[in-house]
Amino acid sequence: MKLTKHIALRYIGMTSIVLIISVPVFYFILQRIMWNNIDEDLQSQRHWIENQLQKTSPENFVSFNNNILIRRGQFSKNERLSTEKLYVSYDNEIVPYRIIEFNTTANGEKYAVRIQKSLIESEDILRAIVTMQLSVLLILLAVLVLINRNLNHNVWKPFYKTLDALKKYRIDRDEFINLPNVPINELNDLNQSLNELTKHNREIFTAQKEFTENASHELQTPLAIIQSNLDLLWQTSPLSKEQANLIQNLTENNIRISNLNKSLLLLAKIDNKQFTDVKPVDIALLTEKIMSRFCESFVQSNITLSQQTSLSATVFADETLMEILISNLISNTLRYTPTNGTVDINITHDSFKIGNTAINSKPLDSRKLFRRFQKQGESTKNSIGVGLEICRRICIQYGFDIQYKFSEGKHWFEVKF
Amino acid sequence: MKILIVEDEEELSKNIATYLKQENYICDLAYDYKSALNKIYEFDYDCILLDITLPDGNGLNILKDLKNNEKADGVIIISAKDALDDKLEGLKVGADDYISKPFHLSELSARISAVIRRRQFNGKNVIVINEITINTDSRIVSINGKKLDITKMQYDLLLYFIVNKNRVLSKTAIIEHLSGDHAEYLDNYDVVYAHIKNLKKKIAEAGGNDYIKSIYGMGYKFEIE
Repeated sequence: MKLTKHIALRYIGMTSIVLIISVPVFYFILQRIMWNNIDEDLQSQRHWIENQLQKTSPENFVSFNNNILIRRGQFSKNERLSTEKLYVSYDNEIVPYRIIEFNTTANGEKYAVRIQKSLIESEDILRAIVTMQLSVLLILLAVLVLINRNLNHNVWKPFYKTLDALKKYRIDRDEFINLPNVPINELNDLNQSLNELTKHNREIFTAQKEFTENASHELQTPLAIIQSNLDLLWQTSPLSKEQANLIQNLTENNIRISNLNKSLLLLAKIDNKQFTDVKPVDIALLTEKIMSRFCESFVQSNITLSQQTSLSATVFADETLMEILISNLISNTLRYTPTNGTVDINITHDSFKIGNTAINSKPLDSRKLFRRFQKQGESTKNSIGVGLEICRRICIQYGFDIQYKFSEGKHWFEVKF
Repeated sequence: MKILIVEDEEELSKNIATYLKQENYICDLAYDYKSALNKIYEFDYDCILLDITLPDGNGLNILKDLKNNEKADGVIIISAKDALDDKLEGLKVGADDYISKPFHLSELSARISAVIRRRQFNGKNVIVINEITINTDSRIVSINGKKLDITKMQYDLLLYFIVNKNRVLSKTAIIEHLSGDHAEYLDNYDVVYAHIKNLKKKIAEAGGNDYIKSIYGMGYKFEIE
């Protein structure tokens, strides 16, 4: 629900409640006031009658509509005020009356007096007033709705523009948001703060990215120098077996450091979300491309490969990352499948599943499996132990689910897209 | 063949030059952006090895300059940055190849010879080593005129050996070469051993000599007088 709509609904709701309560309250209060007036009127009439009775006989009181009745005798109560509906014969209708009955004594005689006053005119005025009040309130309500609509269209427009710009903003792609100045102070403050915020964030992002690249540069260069020296050392002669062994060990470890460095940088880049070239990627096609690189190695290692594609999955992701994900899983099987083992690849419309014969028919510890540097029993010395961590991070970035299962003597890795 | 090495790390430059000189390349060294530009305008090179991050400028600008002046020198970018952006931009601007640090000198040498081969249009895309003939255009290998039926990897392996003939190639260098950009994914030495064994077998069956020698099981050498 839009904020403006939310506010408008509350406005209108509250106004309606006030309206519903206020109109009857207003009505009753007005009625009370009118009755009070009439009662005062009746009281003054009473005083006038009491005074007149001292001077003249009750028969001399002439009243239209029999509004004043005086008889000898007593009412049971000394004074009674009441509202009654009486039938008026000449109008042929029932009319509300305010009535006062009281006992009085004049010149030693006891009189019971009744004065009545029609309420019909006051009721009519009351009704007119309430109707007018109701109409004014209804007009106010309508104006309120109109004002809200207008606010929604005009005043909130810059706010929605800001919101739209924020939604579209990507720190890795855009320099910073450039929001314009607007006449409303709060919105202007918001825009300026966002401009500052995105600019600052972008600076931090760039600095972090530069650090990643610089770290790579600083480490790769000395490694390259070591490597070139080792390569020249290979070419010296005579070369003894012992020397060859030493150089080979140095070379291997130099490459391990380099690969480790590359992998850690890759992890950092995934975490920094620096892979942003999101395109539709056909998993079956990608797998085929990767397999063309590996297939000779599978044949060499005498590993049987069985591949089933029921329906290819298409995911929206960075192709480089998807290639790393799939080739990491495939190269793992190449590394950990014993000679004459089998590797199964199943691709469905929403998953990629790869299984390989286990070397010692024991399940791996799935809790440790996806953590970096957690090598388990079958790991070879060439593994650096970040491959599956990289897979997991890639899956997290795209909301995929990666699972390990052990069944029928095979390790299974399944990625659900 | 003349090669210019634009690299700010002197030791690395010198090591590359030492290796390449043994392959009868003439090497010039430039340690910074300015001297690289001067050398490029003064001489023509068959191949330029270009480091992107130089102390006084971006190597990519040298490449752009070369292309703007329609110089035909082949260019291989050497970069410590593994960044895909650099690679793609470099290739887009017109580099012939890209190699990221650290690399094996034998790998660099193979890349240089591939770039030079590709730039020669006068029928020199055929390499002849005694009875072995390799046509690098059609990727066909023949021994004594008879076509050899080998896989893509075996072809790559043979070409790599021949370009680096009489050099000791370590198992790690071979494996990096075979797996290309995906070095970290292929690290099983048994695979190298199997590939070499099969290649040797095929050459022997076709009547070729056994040129590939194992060096204490640590490396291999394509030996030719």
